[in-house]
Amino acid sequence: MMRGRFKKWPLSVQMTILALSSELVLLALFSITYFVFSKDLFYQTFDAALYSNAEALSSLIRADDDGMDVHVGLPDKLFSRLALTKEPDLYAIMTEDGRILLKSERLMALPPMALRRDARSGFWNFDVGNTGYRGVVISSSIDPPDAGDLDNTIHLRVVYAMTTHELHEQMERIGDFLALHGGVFFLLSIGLAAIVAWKGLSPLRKLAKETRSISSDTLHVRLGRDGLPAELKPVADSINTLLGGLEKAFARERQFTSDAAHELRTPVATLKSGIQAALLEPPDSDSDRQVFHELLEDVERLEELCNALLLVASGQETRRDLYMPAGDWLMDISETIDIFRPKVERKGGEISLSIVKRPLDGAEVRSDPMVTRRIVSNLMENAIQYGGNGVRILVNVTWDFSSVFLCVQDNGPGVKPEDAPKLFERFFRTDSARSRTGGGAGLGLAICKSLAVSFSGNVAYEAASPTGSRFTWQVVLQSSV
Amino acid sequence: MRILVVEDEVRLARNIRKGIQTMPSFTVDLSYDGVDGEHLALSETYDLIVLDLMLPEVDGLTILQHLREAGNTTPVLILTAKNAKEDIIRGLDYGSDDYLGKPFDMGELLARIKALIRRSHGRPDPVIRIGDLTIDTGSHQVCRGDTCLVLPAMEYRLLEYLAFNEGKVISKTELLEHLYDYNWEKFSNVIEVYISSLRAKIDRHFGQKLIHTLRGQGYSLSDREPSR
Repeated sequence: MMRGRFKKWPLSVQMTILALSSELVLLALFSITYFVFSKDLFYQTFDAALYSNAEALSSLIRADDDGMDVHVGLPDKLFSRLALTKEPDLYAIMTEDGRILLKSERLMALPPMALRRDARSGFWNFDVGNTGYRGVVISSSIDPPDAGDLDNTIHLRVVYAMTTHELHEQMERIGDFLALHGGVFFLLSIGLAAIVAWKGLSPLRKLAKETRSISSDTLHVRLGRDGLPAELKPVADSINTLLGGLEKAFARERQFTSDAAHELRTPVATLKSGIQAALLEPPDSDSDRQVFHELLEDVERLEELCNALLLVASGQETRRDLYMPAGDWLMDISETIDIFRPKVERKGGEISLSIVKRPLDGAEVRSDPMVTRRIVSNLMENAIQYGGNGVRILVNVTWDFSSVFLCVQDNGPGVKPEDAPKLFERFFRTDSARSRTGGGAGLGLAICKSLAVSFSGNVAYEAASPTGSRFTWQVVLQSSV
Repeated sequence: MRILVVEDEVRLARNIRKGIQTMPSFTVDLSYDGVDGEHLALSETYDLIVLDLMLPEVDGLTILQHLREAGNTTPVLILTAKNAKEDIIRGLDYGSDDYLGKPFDMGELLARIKALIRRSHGRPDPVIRIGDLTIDTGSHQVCRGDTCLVLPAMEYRLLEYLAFNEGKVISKTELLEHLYDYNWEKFSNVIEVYISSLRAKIDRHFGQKLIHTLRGQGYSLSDREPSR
């Protein structure tokens, strides 16, 4: 379960964690090795010191003439070590058979090996009170001064012990040092690993960003594969293959739409011309005339549908780079809105247009008059259709430094949240619009969108408060320098 | 006036003819394909050609090109289902005089046809005035002084043709060519019958004679005596 959750974490986090865990293992191994090695080294040094102290002690032993007594001339400060440590060194000198000739007071117990007859030199650890000691036993022999030929060499055992307190302290220091620096390095490496993971994933992010920027209007764009690492090339290739398929499918759909509309035109033209030719002659009865007029209305709707389909189909294939003066654009908008005023007022509603800020002189917007009128009419028709009787339509125009925004807001019931994403799809109509007669074919908003996009603009929907819909047409603004 | 409609959609072609022929000025020949259309356009005499662009066999633009290469200056109105700017521009470049996208409004088509005919005769004013005779080519009303009358279609067509060619001497053959469609048996004496009927209506009771007969040459409509 944890595993499953881990797999869903961001790749950079996963990579960081993996890198850190392997680093943690390495760090631990290194610390242990280093610690063991240092301990060994310390003990060697310590033991060497012990040994040389013992040797030094033994060199101070002098025998009496008869060789029976042994003197040790201990100076105040025999060894530098003695002065440095808090705890005094311990020593003992004894004969081979275990008789103690000299002994530090604090040295309570002698090592068992020192007492054995066949004892050899060796080290042992022991405690005095709470203090740990390590000692060495060495064999030493001294010759009495006037021994002559007699072999009266005295064999002694010298015991020397020093506290291991400092040794342990040093070991602890090393341990602390390793722990502290290891910890700091680990913390540093968290950041480093995160940076490395982030950097390492940057081609993936770039690919994702590039992919995200492709929309239905820019399907001709392909992802660049040259700068990509080997692992991502197949990904880019498959995305490109997919895009190719999508582009073809879209092109087919456009072609179909366009062909269908063209093919429809001729029968529509035939129907229309037939009805109109019939109407040119006085019809036999008023009811005939009525029928003809109704037929003509239907044909005209068909005709508009054809034109709308063609507009949708053509809007996507061409990018248009036309500009018009912002003043003319505003004029077109207000004229188009005026056309709708009587219709709305008849239904007890009203339209208000407010231009929040006037454009600078010489500012141009990326649009053309036909497109402007078409988009505004479609948005108005939409607002009227969905707003119903007594609709209040607010139109306002605002500007920022690179865009102009035309908002058309109604106080109708608005759009159900689940319908919102489908609003700009062709032939989409909400259920309420579908049940109403005289509704459009569901192409109006699709046309707005495709026209706006073909001029590098956009049309977006948002819910208005408290009720209603707000459609915003964003137009590219160019201020002349 | 005689108009050729080249349109492969048979019913649309017939509707156009029906529409045009509601006006007394016109008679219409139909052609449903490119080859036949081109043949008719080149061999017969028309005052205007309504040409569809997408035709079987030979397309409209090719016909237009051949027509202009042959020195034929008949006004051509292009009908197109494409409505693509390039097609329209190409059509105009090839020598068409006007265009209309399908589906079109019948009223608009008729108005454009009338306008093209007026333009081709250099008479932008829809009302033709000869002496105190006025012919309203829009409403097809004919007035002599204060007396206004509605003429039968054939007589109006004859009068209008003479009026558009005011002062010129028009032969019987030319009249037959321009006033009747392809399917009519052309007997020259019908022209004499219509002329005398017209005379009775617009000349007989008025002082100044406007319709002149030039023996062996033809007829002329003018408020001056034609020079022989």
